[in-house]
Amino acid sequence: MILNHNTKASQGASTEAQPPIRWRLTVTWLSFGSLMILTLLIAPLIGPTSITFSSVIDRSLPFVENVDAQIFFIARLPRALTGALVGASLAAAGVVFQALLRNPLATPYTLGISAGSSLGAMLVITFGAPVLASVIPALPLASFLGSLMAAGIVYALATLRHRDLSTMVLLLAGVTINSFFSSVIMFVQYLNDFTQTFQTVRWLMGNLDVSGYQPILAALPFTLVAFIGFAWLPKSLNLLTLGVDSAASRGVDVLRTQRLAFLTASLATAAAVSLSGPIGFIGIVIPHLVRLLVGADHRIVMPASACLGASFLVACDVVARTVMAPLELPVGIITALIGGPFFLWLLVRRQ
Amino acid sequence: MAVVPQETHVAFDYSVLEIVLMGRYPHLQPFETEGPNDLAIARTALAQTGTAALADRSFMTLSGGEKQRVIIASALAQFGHSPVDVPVELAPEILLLDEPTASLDLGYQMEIGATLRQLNANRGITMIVSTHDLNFAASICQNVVLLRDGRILAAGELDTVLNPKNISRLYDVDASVDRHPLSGQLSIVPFRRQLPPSVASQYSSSKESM
Repeated sequence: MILNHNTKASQGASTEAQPPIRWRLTVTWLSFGSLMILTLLIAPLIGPTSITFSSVIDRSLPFVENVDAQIFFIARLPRALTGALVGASLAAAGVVFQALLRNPLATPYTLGISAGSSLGAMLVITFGAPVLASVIPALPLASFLGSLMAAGIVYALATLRHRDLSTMVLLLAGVTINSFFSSVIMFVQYLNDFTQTFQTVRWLMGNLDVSGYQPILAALPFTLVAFIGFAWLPKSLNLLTLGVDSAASRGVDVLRTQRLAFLTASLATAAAVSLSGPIGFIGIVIPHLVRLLVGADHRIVMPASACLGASFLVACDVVARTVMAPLELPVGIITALIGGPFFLWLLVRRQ
Repeated sequence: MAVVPQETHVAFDYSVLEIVLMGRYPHLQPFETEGPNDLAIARTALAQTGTAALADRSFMTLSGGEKQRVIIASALAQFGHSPVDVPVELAPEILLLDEPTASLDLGYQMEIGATLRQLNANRGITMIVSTHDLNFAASICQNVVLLRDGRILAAGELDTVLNPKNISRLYDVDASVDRHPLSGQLSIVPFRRQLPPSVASQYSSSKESM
């Protein structure tokens, strides 16, 4: 980390007139943004059937006859886009939760959202979908509602006793809701038959096995609302991480910022989890990696994390699809295999 | 007006310059980034608190005294000083410090005291400091207000207010107040706790029973 500041110093040593933030923002958007676009273009080319980009964009053939283009746009691109949406949401939500709780080890799931979504998904798997399920796919909907319910309970608990949002109560309520919902899940699981248990466990592993663009389009409005919130937050988050009083003395409406942060990050996480199941470690590995690369300023960490989170999950999914082909592993296994050791390294490194 | 809190814990790895530039955020529009003018103000604040050499260091790696001086610099950066801001007469530079030395050892306490005196002398900043440490107050203050249970016990110039009688009413201790031969400042040495009557009687009776 010191290395990072040293390089900054050497680049800006000659009495600079512009603060570093402006060129750092430009460099961040260009580098991390192009990495994401590149990943999104390359990932669909890789798979059991090899296709090339030149044949995908070959205009001499009509689309119905261009098999490569069909594989690219119909079979693989939806999956890559889902990965990008989920990865970006989880990484950005991780940044927001870490700043809100002033704890770099927080994740999007710390406050009970994954447990809520898992409970919702499992209830649909166990008891079947209600009537309207023929119109809307029931599993993502139930998981989305489960997430929002968990977030709502945690939020209500944190504001119950105090007028302001106590991050300590928020954290404790989140941990409690997590374990309470987990025990409910285990209870129902115990009574389930083999197929239902298998389905639930598969869902909990997290995967990007989508077909078509409908799931993305369903999640997109919520994700967009959340990201508009994320765009407003970074400067307030910077001040908030210095302490509530410091932030308030610099004109931050602390309660409003905390509310906005909690609600938008919960919404983004809920939408992501409803698409893919609770894919782990993105929300903590990516923000940390980004801070090592670009420093701690949230105006840079936020877009960089979103782009890198998208690229990372899409890349992990390519590994998951190909490493044991034709078997497709759930991508959650890959992210956990990479993320677990990285997380431990972070813990050890702190001492 | 700007505030310096007692202690600042930062869980994230900001550079010192970033922390000081955060003092400029109240002057920025929602999506505006700091400009050259803000950078100049931040550099001045760093220089005036003796932390210019630390600008590119990581805030987390600083000592307690250095951290507190950087936070003071960040508060200074919050003051106007830009062509479009209101004149100083309309926006007086007042710094509120909440026990700025409470978590610091003696060396860092003196470091902060020196920084505050310099800011007052060179830049004419008015500072309102809350503290439990009478010697620290004596080393930096011109005027003091003694508060007990939210009520004012005494207020006025340092030399007249800080006397054994007022200290006794304030803290229930007997203390000597002398002018230190080397520093020339008032030096307060407490030497006896005045026990409240109820506690005192318990104490003496238990002593008798032994």
